[in-house]
Order: sequence, then structure tokens, then C-alpha cells
Amino acid sequence: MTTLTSTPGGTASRRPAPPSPAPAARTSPRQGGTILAVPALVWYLVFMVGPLLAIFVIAALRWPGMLQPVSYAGPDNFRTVFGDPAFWDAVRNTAVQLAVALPIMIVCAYMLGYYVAQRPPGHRVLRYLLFIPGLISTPAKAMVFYAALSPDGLVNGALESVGLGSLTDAWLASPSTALACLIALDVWSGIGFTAVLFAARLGSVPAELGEAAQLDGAGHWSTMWRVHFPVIRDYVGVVTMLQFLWTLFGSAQHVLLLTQGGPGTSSTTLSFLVYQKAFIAADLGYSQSVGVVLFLAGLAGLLAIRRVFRQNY
Amino acid sequence: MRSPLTRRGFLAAGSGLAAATALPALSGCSALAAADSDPDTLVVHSQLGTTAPGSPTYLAALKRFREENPGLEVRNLVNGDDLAQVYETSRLARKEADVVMVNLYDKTLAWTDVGATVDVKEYLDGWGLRARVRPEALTAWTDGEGRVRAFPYFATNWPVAYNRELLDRAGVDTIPTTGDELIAAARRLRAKGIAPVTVGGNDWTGQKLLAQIIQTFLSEDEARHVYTTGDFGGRGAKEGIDYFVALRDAGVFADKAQGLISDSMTTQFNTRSAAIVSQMSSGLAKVPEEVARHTEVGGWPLAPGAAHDKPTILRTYTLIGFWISPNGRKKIEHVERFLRFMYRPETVSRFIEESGRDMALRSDTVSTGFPLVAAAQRLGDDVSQVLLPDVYVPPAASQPLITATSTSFTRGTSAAKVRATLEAAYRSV
Repeated sequence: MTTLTSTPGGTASRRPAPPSPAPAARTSPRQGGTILAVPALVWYLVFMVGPLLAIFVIAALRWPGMLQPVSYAGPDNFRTVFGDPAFWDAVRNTAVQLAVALPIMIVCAYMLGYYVAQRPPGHRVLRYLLFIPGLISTPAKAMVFYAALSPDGLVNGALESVGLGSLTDAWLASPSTALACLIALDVWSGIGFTAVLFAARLGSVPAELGEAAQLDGAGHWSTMWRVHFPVIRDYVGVVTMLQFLWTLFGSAQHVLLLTQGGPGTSSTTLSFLVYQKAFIAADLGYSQSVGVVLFLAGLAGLLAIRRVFRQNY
Repeated sequence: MRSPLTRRGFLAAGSGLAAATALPALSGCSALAAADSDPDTLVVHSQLGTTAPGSPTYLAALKRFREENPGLEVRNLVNGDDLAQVYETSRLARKEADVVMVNLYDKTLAWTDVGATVDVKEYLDGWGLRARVRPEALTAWTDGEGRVRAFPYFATNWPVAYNRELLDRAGVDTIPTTGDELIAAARRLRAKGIAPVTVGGNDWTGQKLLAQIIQTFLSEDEARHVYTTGDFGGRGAKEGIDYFVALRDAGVFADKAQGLISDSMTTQFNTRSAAIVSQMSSGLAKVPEEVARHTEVGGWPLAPGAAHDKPTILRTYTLIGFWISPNGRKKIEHVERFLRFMYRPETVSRFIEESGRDMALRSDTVSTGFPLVAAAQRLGDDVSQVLLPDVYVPPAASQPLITATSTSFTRGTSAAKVRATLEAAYRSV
């Protein structure tokens, strides 16, 4: 079907029919939507982009405490950061934390989510149970871990009661175990929540796909990884990105509550270093220089994860 | 049909929404500002008010002060260890409290220099309160330029408490006064399943004990130099670290001390799991009566060649003091009334009697309800005093020093590694 429309000059021309109603009716809601978004955009600019820019500005300042006079430092803060062994310890710890926590969490959560999505008996209860760590506040989680891992805590008590007293340790204060304890807390608190996310997405995958694969002789393992995983591959990427960001930027709270980055720097992560230098050591320029590094690492990580989990069909 | 919402309408709606969002916040700020700048309101920012030792006495004192001054409203803001941070943030917004009650440590060391609080010397003299303050306290609160940072209030003795009952059970007849005696006592205690010296090797209590032991071979001036500069390479500091390492590896400290914190330390001593603890007087005040009855206080045992002739304790006059902020200077007559009240002999006596606090002010009152606190006060010249390093450690090194503590308390860590870890804490200074 074709219609005649008027050009601005008043001449008529023959054009294909638009797929939707008249242009006037189409543009009005779009403009209105943009305007409605203005408050949110202003909010975003002021409170999100503003602080982001502030990180880069403060990184170029010599600012030894909130009440202290500020001067321009240029790249000096970055020189100090890159020459500081504590920073490289934090880089190593953060890399270990990501390299261990992220794969364990994503793989286990995916498998758990797949299991829940199969609707086994009691799956509704299981979903709630998996959510429980997400319902516990971070200080409460830290208290649980402290009660378990302190020198006179549950773990050492259990080891002694079964005659393995020689294996007891000051888990949160030993250079060889402090970081591992933090990683365990990350995995414990994140795995159930992530599994529920996966289960929700897997629940919307057509059941026929799995049934067809099993008719062809595929077992659960093959169906899980060769049929369902490719279907939700991009979703796995999104969840991985979220976990990556939570681990990279959010680890400071667990470190602060359980180990304070110690002993020495053995559990200091980059995000804790940002906190420590800003609020404890009162060196805001150093802190935000690490913040810049963290921001760039986060950006690079996001791009890498996006590329790895790009949908390939 | 023309849409009822035009572009102008949308803009108006958007602006209205933004204004509606912002107004409550702005009005909240103005309300806060009004309360803070109210000439009849005195805002006190304090670490007392919840569980800190002395809080009930302080709250009762505030109640009496309010009753005496019905036209003056007193607001009490309470923070814990984060008080300095919170105060600095409020100072940035020029909305800080009028009076701040906090100790001289870490961030607060710079407050007078940067104008976050005012020099109180003229008020101390003008209000005639100087004579109330113990001279040692005034010295401790006076900076290098002669400014008095705050009105001194709380002090503390930090002796070593020995549970005689547990020592007797292990066959230790006398309180150890030398390192060798302490090691021998530790062996006997361990043989009876009793932890020797309990300490929060993972927090500030461990840091203080480590500093005390390192000062075994340091004079006061040398200790001041070491903790100001972070140079632990001198002969005295090295010998002190060697002494600490020898004691640690001989099993003097409780198992896994590097993972303990002050709470676990207090629990171990108060429940008779450990026989010895280095404890400040506010902690001694909390020792249960059945344990306190069998406890003696003394100093930390010495090593041969020590710079001190008697076992050492820590003693400081720089716990909570009253700092006056620039906002407080605008209401100085209210601040004066408040400080005169808090400096009254009867108010001071209540802190000693009811809370077992040591005071930086002169008082004849002796703590009868807290025998260990009183015993620590009576130690006098029977012990030698070492520096509490808090006033000398640069703020940037304070927390790293505490973090370094757990490494130091880890068995097997060499003296060289302990020294390197302590010096690394000063790296960012």
C-alpha cells in the first residue's frame, strides 16, 4: 500500500507506507521520553560521572589528609604507587582472588543453577536456601567467618576434637591462609545468589532443547554444557561481569572486617588499598591513583569477559 | 489528538521532579545547620556514650549538666574508632561539633596544625583550670610550638597483670622480673595447659606490647627517635626486637597470638585460660572480682643489659581530652560552662569511683571498687615507664604498624624480618 504525504514545500510525492502510524505521532513520545529522562541524566552526570572524573583529578593531587592543604602532584602519585611493593602485593592478591574465586563461583553456580532449573523435588525450598547468604549483611557474614576461623574458633575446635590439632592455625592471621579465607568468603556468599540468577535464566530455555538432546543420547553433563550453556552464553557473560566487578571493587569490605589487609600485606587487595590509603593512611592522591588503576583494570576485564562470552551463534 | 504533555510540560515536570527530590535533602541540611549554629545548643562529639569504659558515668554527668543549665541544649554525638574520620568530614562541611572528646593519636595529631581545632592554652589559663591538670598531662598535650591541643581528661596506666592463682598452680612462686624467669614460668604454665601471656597479636594491644618490649633497650629519647622516624636499625631497637623474638619463640605468648584480638585477649585472661596480660587500666576495671582477687599487677620483665632498672609499664596522659573546634569558639561561653563542670572535682571523682578510669587531672580519690586499677596507680616508682608510641608515630604509619604486628607475633619470623616489617610500615610517611 502507498500513501501520499506532503513535503515541506507543499509538493506531493509517492513514498512507501511507513510501518507505524503517522510521523508526528511517532516523534512526540520519543522526545517526551528524552525529556523525562533529564532528571535521571542530570543525577547520573552529577553523582556518577562527576565522582569518576574526580578520581582522575585527585590522582594528580598531593593531598595528605582531608583537612590538609592540597597541591598539584602531576604523575608523582603514580610513580609512588608503581614503586611501592605494597601495591604490587595488592595486584598479586587481587589477581589470585579473581583467578580463583571467579571460575569456581561461575562454574559451580551454573551447575547448581542447572540443577535447580530441572525442578527436582524441593526445588522451591532450595531456591530460598541458596539465597540465604545474600540475605545476611556483610558484617554478620564476617562475624560468622571470624567465629569459625579465629584461633579459638570452630574450625580449630573441630580439628582438635578429631585429633588433628597439629593442623590448627591462626587462619585469618597466617600469611599462607588469610587470602584463601577471604576468597572462601567471597565464594560462599556469592555462589548461591549467582546460582539463582542462572536458574532463572535456564528456566526460560525451551525444555524441548534438553529433551531432544537426551533423546539423542546426551546425558545431563552434555546437555548442561553443550546444549544449555551455548544458549545462555551471553547471560553467563553478564553474570561473570557482575561477579568480576563485585570481587574487584567490593573485596575491601571483607578485608576490612576480617584481616585489615594483613598480616603484612598478605591479604591486601587493590580495593582495600584504595580504602586504606584514603581513610587510614590519609594519602588521598595515592589512594585515587590506585583507584584509577582499578578503574582501568575493571574496564579491561569487562571488555575481555564480554569478548570471551560473546554469543557465537 | 494533541498530547496533553507538551515539551514545555515535560520540562516543567522534570524540573518539578528534580526539585521535589532535592528539596527534602536541602531542607534537611538547613535543619541540621540550624541546630548546629543554634546559639543555645552545645554539640559534643564523643567516644563515650555506648560501651566505652566510663560511658555510664559520662551520660550521668551530661544529665546533671543539663539539669543545671536548663536553657542550654546539649547534643551528644557518639562515634567509636571512626570518630576522627567523621569529625574531619564534618569539619570540611564546617558543621563540626563544638567540643570533641577523643584521644591524641593518628589523625588528631594534625588537628591543631591544620586549624581543625583551636589552641586551648588561653582558655585553660583564662578559666583558671591549669592548676587542675597534672603537669605530665599538660606536657603530653602541648605540641612543639607550645600550643595546648586539648583539655586533658583521661589517662591510663598499662601494667602487666599476673594471675597468682594460675602461677601458683603451675609452681611459679614469684612474679617474673627477668626474661629468663618469664620463659621458665611460661614452660611451667604450658605444662599445666595454661596459656602464659595472652595478647591481641592482630590488633593495637599487640602493637603496644611489642613497642613496650622493644623499648627494653631504649632510653626515652631513643624510643622517641625510633617511633618518630621508623628507624629500627639502631643497636637498642635491634636488641629489643631480638629480645621479643627470643620470648616469642620460647613460647611466652599464647598459641596463635598473631590471630588474637583485644577481645580474645581479655576473654582468655578473665576466664583464667591465660595467666598474664598487659592491660590498660580501663581493661583492668573489667576483670571479674573472682579473678581480680588473685591478680597482682607489675611490669614487663627485663633482659640483661636493659636500659631500665625495673620492669616496665606503659603510662599515658593522652587518652580522651576535650578539643574545642572553630564552631565551639563561637559559643565559647557554653564550652566554658561545660568544661568547668567536667573539671569539677566531684565529676572527676565519679569517673574514678564509678568507672575505674585513670584521670589526667589532680584528684585525691582512689578507686575502691576497682582494686587492680588502684594497684596500678600505686605502682609509682616500683616500675619503670616506657613511651606509648602513639603520639610519635606519624599518622600514615599508625595502621600499617598494627598490621605489621601480626607478622611479628608469628612464630618463626626472624628478627630481621620483624625489623623489616616494622620499617616497611613507615614507607609511605
